Amino acid sequence: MQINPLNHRLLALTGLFLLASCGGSSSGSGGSGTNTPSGGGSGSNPPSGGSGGSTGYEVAANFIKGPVSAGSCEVFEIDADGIKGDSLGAAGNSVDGLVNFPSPINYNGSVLIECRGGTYRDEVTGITLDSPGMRAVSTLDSNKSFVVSPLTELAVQLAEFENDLDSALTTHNSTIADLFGIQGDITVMLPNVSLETDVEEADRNQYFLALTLISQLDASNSSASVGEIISGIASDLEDGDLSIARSDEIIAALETLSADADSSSSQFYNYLQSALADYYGSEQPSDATDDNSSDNGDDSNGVVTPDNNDGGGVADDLSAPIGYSLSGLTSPITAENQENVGFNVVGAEPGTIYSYSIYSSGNGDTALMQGTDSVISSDFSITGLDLSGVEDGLIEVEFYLTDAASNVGGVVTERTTKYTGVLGNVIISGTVTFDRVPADTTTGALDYDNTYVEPARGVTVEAVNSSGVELASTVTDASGNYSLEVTEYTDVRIRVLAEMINNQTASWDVSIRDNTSANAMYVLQGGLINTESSNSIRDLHAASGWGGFEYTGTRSAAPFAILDNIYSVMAKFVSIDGDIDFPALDIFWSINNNTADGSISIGDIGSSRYSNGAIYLLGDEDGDTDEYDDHVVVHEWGHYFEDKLSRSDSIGGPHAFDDLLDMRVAFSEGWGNALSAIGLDHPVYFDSSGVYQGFGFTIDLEENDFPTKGWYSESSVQSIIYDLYDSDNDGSDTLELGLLPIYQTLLDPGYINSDYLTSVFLFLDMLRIKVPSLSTNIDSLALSQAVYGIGQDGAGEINDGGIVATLPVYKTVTVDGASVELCSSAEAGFAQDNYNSHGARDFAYLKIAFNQNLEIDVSKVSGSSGSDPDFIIYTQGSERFRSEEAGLDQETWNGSLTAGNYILEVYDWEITDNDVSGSQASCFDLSVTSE
Amino acid sequence: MTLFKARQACGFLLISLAACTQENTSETSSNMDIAEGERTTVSPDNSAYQKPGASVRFSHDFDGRLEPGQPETISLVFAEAYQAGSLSLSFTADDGLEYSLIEAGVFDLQSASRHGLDIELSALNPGRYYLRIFAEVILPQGRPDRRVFGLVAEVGNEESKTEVDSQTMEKDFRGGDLITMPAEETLKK
Repeated sequence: MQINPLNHRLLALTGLFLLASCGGSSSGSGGSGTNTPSGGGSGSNPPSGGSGGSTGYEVAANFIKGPVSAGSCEVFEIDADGIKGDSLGAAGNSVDGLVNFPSPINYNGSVLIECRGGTYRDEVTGITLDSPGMRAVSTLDSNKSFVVSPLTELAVQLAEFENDLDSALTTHNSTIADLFGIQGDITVMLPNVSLETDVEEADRNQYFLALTLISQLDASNSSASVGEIISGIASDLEDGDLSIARSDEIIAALETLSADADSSSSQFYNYLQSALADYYGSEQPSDATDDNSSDNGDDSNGVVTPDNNDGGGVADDLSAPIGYSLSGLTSPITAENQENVGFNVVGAEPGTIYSYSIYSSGNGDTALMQGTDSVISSDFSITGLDLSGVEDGLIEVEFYLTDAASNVGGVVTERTTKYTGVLGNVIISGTVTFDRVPADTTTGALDYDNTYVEPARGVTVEAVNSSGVELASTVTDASGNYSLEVTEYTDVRIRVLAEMINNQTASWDVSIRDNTSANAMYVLQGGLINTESSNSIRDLHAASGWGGFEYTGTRSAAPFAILDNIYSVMAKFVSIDGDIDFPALDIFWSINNNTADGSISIGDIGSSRYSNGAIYLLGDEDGDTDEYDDHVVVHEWGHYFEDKLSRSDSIGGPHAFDDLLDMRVAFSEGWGNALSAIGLDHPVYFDSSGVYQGFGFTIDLEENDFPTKGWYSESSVQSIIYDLYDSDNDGSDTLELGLLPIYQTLLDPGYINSDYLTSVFLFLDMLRIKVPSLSTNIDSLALSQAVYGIGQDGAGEINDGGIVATLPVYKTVTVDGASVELCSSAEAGFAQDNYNSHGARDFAYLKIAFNQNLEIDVSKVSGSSGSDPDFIIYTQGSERFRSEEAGLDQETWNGSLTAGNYILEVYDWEITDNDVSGSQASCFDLSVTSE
Repeated sequence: MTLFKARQACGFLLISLAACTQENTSETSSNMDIAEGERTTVSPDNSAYQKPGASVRFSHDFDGRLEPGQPETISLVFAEAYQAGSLSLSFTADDGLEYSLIEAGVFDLQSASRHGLDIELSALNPGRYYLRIFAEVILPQGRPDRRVFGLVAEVGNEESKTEVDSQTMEKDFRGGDLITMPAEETLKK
């Protein structure tokens, strides 16, 4: 890739930055630095000490946005293919940008210097900001003090476009220096952050001005970080052309800097004025001494190029109109509309004169039609053009503005096709893919270096016109392929919705939405391109947006990575039940979703979670993101499955693998963990977090030995379910049932309508019915996890988890019978948080023979003072009544219950929800009396 | 008559203290008097099915508001259920939100099950800032467990909200909201 030196916008900016001629000549090698490596230095600031060669070179790096403090840098060799190689050394904790590498580096050749972390004081806003990661490619052939700055990062990104880091050395370091009017080597010459007036410092002053300009671009664009600004410029330069929009942004930034600078005494102000004068061709302020005349003139396209030499000194208006564009040209032009063709003009300068010419591929360079008139308003339409006499073919409109000083703006064009025959159809096909960022299965951290491409399976693909109206729609296959039939000679955009909808025998409807943007659905969008008359292929890829040190682009891949996890797990169920109907599911993910608790519409979701029929996932960069944490996604989907297709009585809340939990919570969370391994065919659960998503943890579900075992342990539940499923037999695991009997159990009416609450007991009891011949094996598996109880009620359980009162699991109470004792304990919970801990809630079974009025009373018999007993009455897991009066040490409920079986959940609110007194246990007598 | 709603709002969703309506408060006056009179910390939402993580629970006494330029010391409490190992706490904050720890955030898990840590927060400029709290538990056998917590600090009077770049929002032709994301598109004839 080579920057096109003839591009007029680039030339304009090059001229804009040619300040050296205003301020004096530059040495080219830079002057003395402000950050001197240990031992001092001058010129390009070589580190002091060793002489290099066989003993190695002393190396330092100047990490400069403004000078970055507390950053770190690492040097890598660049191999013969121009690829980043092994690390040569690392150093951290920069002071005023300077990092000294502790050991000499025994290497001679081209190197990549990567710096990251730390903070700097922004030149424009004065605010201390986190520094973006930045790199430089340079040559290590002596003791060196490298400079790593946004400009060197730009050069590295341009080199990456060519997959050859060495091209930064041969081409792009110079290209970027030229672009910003710098003559020295940007990888060793220090920017002059103090803008000294010494003319010998002009080149380093120029370097500083360039960095300041990037800060202003950042300050002017609240939605983009410095890293994104840099990447945006690099992308823009990839084709050798700096876009008009980007050029205008840079000019605007320069003007803003100029307007804000101190005009009375600031050297900085003088530099800015010189730069602007270079662009506009008229020196400001008026006392400028350079009287060189401008050589502005038309180039071959009729575009006025700014003065590329120096300060100008001409006071006339030499600024050509800019910022206008065309849209909405009739497309296609057909037999029906050929007499009324039109187009829209946007952003024209009122008072200028517009001119347009229309050309046809059938008429060569001869304009078919021309027009000119005054611009009244900035946006207007030209309509009613009669092209009936024009041959079918490609039609092009060329348009430009001329101002009162006869400055001619750039030509903008718009193309369409004329076809007056009967329009046929063409096929647009392609493949939709996304970036998958894997995790290090040892640490759980995301491994961006091994990002790979996966097909987007089962997602909706639409062909839409320029107004967004759907022209055709389909769904990608298992390889991400799609095919759409659309009308020829039509402007069509392909877009991929972050949704999976299937209305076949098996059905589902899943979409990824942003809870911080009015629940809008994410859409991957291609360009608006004419179909012309032949079939075409349009492949769309959703990139991760990772820029090497931070997300610098839109995180387009995230919604599709999430969807693909759901596709995988749903496919597991469809393979065993081709008629399964999954109820509609909305999954909410946003880059704003963070770990603070608060308003969901702002993104304060607290944790990835399932609640109220929807899944919420974290997306907070450098905090906690879950879009690539596959097992987290499927874990939460497991809760959806229980809720919508099976049954869950879980009361939710925080939980951990080693917690002693309420049996309902333990089963639900253990199921989610096991399903994540089943659905993804990967037993290692991982969850990344932290800065750079560089931390995390993992849990191997094949691991069966952990501290907490029993009916109250999610680890035991996940171990049992996964061992039932998998084909690896270890120890007491002799089963390989696959998913079918597990699925059948969870959907069995006997499970869904059981009088008893959901737990490992209910699950295993129903599973034994499904596969009676394997009951012994199931028992063995349960015993290996210290689950001893049998039946839906866990009868005979002997593992109390250290809280004697939790056994039996269900106490039996009868109408007008003796009272039974139930307890609420904080022993297995957390200080001030026993909401879902083992033993905090106790359960009783109540059978009502006929409809009757009852009084249910719970009165304290022992334990902490100031107890507040409460209870809930369930039938088949559904809450029927809740009694939560604020009475001290007693709770009484009077009401009518119909004949049937009930479960009573009794708890001390002071322990489960308040625990201000540090209560440890309260026990109560439960009695049921007829009235 | 059930008082569930009152408890749900004021007991489970303690972090939203303002959500306790007048009606609900009156229904549960005696109970809430006890709770409000003695409660010192704010706990997270328990009502949802959350993802697994380290066995650490987090509460604090921060009401979520700071005055510009006025430092405030808040108390963080981390409860855990481990028998041994260590708990390390680290923090990051949005630009503009300054924090300083009164003491190191490292705890021996054998010594207690509840660990307090004071932290001073301040911000010069009004706005909405996040403090991220990374809890890392290292178990005796070396296995790490982690959990991330967050705090919001609203500085100044005007509550600011996250806004999405309007240029990325479009209306579906059916009327639904869409967030358009750029594709890397390859064309072949």
